[in-house]
Amino acid sequence: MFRAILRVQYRESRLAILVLAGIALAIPLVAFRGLDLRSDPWDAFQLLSASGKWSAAYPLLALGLGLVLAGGAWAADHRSRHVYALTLPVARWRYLLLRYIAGGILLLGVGALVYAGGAMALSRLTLPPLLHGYPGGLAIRFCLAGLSAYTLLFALNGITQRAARFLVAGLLLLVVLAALADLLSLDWHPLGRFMDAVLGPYSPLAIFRARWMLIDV
Amino acid sequence: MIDGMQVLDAIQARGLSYRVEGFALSNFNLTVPGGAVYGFLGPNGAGKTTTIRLLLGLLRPEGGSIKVLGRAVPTDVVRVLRRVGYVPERPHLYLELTVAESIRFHSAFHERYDRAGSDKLVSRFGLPPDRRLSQLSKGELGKLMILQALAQRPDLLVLDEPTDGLDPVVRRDALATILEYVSDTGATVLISSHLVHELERFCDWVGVLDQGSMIAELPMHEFKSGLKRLRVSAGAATADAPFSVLAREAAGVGSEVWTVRGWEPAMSSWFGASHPLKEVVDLDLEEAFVELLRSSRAPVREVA
Repeated sequence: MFRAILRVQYRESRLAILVLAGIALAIPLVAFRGLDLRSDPWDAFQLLSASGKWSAAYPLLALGLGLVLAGGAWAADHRSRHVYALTLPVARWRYLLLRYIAGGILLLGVGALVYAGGAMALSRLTLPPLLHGYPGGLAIRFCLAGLSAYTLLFALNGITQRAARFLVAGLLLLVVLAALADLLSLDWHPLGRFMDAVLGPYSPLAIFRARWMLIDV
Repeated sequence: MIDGMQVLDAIQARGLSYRVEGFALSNFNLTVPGGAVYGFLGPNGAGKTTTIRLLLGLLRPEGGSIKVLGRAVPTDVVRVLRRVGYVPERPHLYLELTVAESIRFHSAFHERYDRAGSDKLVSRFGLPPDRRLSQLSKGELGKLMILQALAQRPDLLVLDEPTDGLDPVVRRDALATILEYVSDTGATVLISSHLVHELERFCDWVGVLDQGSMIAELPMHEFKSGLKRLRVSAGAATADAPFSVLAREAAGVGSEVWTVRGWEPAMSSWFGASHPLKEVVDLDLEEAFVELLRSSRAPVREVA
């Protein structure tokens, strides 16, 4: 049953997944390609600079992958207005879990390619003292970020129209309250608090703001 | 059969109520006897699809109880769905898959799925295994949905307008395949349609739904034999008639046409010499259906 769902989910978004997987493999290789590495103190600077220049690509890729996987998890069921899924002899929670895990497996596959790309890039380089390669750490961070994005978007994409209306109404209320607080010069910032809760240091999405360096000190 | 016991009624719905914008089902009852081929008739918008979705647990009723194959819905719907083959009015399968992939996917969820039987039906229906569902014609998609439902080896087939929009050849093929399955297995069938003449040939029970209410539910032979059009002399009183008069219209000088229900041949003696019965005309299912709808919407129609 799980394999059947995994196959369907892959079929649904395979083109996007394959493109993102290719990019995941290519980023580390492209990032350090053509560096003029000589045995001088500037090697470390060049490496760190190249690593930093491409570091924003990984969270963007993780976000994109989360989006593609969450979309792929629901697209076929949205098209059939969930009639097919609801008439399969499987409990709704179990079906949901299988769909979610299938997306997670696909995400792990791309995460493995991030690791492979990083390891391949590092194998071509001789790192100066004090610099280290973190292909495993980068891949784990990529998977966690991808999982955060995927989980959030999977939930948002799967909610009912009614729940979506409540969510949008809640967000609008927040904006109105923030505008009122500003108008009345109150020391209260509901929108800022909300953004902190979503993107702050202890939020599930905080990982997107971390350092994404394949090579670091 | 379920758990080794014969199920008397395959479907029982009692006092069902459900409301959405512009439509309400209230105090709705439905009984589909086990082994019956039950024609669920009603005009477009009568509530057939909503009822079927309630029976299969896709929608939750606001009140009342539903039992399908002896199990409560929606409480025990997963067990029910293991034994129910469903063909909805619109294609519901994943259109990105090929025919072969769709069959593989469907079979993964159904323990009793008959792969050999499905292979036979693929070739019988002429379905191209490697073609995507999105590239199939409407007829091919319809046949694939019927194939999937039959290959599950269900005890109950629920078919919601399964042949709507199909050409006559495909329709005949599909219905013949369903009937073969039913005669082989003794499965129960609930088939909804507004194409009345289509059901007339093979249903043994009929339920007529209109505006969210069941206006008639009876064996097909009673439905067909009890409904007649009588040509009688004008002026007869109907108050003490042993049958119910659904409609009464003038038909030329000195004659009236009555549409009646519950007619039996012996009742012709009820008409006296002053207002003799001139002719008894059989109604086919479509005429009976139309008359039932007319009489339920406007119960008394006097002579024009």
